[in-house]
Amino acid sequence: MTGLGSPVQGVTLYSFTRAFHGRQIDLEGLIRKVAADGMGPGLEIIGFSSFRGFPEVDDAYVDWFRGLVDETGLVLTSCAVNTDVGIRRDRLLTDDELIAYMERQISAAARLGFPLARVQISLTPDAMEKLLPIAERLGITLAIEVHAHHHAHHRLVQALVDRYEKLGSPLLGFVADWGTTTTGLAPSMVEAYRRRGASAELIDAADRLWRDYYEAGPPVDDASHGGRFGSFIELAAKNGSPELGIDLAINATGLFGPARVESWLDLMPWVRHVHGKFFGIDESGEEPSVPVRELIALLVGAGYNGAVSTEYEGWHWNYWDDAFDIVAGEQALQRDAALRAGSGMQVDPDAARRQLASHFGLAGLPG
Amino acid sequence: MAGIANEVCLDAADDRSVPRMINDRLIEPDSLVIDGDRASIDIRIPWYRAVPASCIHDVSVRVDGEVMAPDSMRFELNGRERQLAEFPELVDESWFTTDSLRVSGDLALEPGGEHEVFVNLKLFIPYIVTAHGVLMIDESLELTMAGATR
Repeated sequence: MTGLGSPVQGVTLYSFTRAFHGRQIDLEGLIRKVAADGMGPGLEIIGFSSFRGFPEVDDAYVDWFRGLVDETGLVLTSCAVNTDVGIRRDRLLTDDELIAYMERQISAAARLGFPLARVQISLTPDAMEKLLPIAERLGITLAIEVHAHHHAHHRLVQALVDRYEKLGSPLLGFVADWGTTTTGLAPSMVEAYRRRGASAELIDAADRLWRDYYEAGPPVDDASHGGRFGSFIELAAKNGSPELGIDLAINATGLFGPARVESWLDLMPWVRHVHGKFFGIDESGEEPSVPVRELIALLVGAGYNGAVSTEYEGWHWNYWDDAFDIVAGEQALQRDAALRAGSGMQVDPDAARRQLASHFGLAGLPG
Repeated sequence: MAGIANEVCLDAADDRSVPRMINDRLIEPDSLVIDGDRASIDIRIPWYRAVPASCIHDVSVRVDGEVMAPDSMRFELNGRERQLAEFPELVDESWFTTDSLRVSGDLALEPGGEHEVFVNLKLFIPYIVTAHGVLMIDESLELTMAGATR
């Protein structure tokens, strides 16, 4: 039995996509702001979003980046990499080409100082087995993100668990994304659909259909997911907004997963990193559609000492609120939830660095 | 593609469908430049991450209802000007998240006043493979702006 965990607070720069893409703040500005505003110490970055020329990064760039992170006192937690099988126009990449493509990204993540590379569930157990020697050589953890519509008990996730058990490496695991285990559609998304012309009838019907699926539990395979996806498209057409159908289907099934919070428990031995996915914070400081308090309590109770990257995704539709304030709101909620669970979020950079080194089984983390 | 990458299940969707993301940024505001009988406009990537330049499939531009002739179009990215047909080979070059793709072509416009600029972009998203192949997003936007003259 482990003691209570104290997850490391942190943020992914993905939360600030609108500000970065809109050239309101650059990478250095974002890193300094995360540190100055107390949104760290954990820092997660998507390679292709933030690093120009990724995965090709030269020594001078690596030195600049690691120096900046050291100076700010932040602690690198995860570098998200992508399974770009479709970069050629004549055909998909072959297996060998894809492994080489992934190796370049994973190697860049390691050189930049990240202890973990987030990979996507489009990689199969065979791919993970082929990538393991690369991870061992670089001393970096590879963690597949479990994101809605997938969940801990989905067939694809179970196949990965089986292979992980067979391989028995501490360098293979999962990133647990909280969008997998939500309790309803986000009010800010509903407001965005209203602004785009959705009738009150459509909004009510979508909410009822989502709740029916929540009661039924998450889809166990992709065929079941496909059926649900189609049902949201039909619903929009029947309620006078066919143009919103596919968008609604993608969001309702792909961002708002209906799995139960407890379902993470079976995956906890393999969870190496967490995406504290959320969509907004209401006037009372709570998240209306993601059960942040229960999710933090589960991590604390399971003895989890890895990082939670606050991941704000409401920016897809909410262009009217400031993402920095919303992120601060979710982190305050996480801290309160951890206290009430008898522990606390780890916000001290030095303690976080030691804790993550132990979590990843490393002698020490850079910086 | 054999055993190592799964299809993402988007098969109920057709290839033109993706969630809204930052498609409201498709056209760089006030970037229209009128230069004699040619004009240019800056286009922004409507996605949260960079993609290889080989994913740029097609661009069309219309100003005040006049179509920019496709054969006359040139595309400036990373400091180099190219024709659209050169892009499929560019698997090792990126369209970065904060960069503009500057599109220029034959278009006789009246300088001065406001112009209605319409842009359509077809872009492949290389990590999302559906039952219909690699996902291609098809984004359009119209913006009104004054044109600068060169």
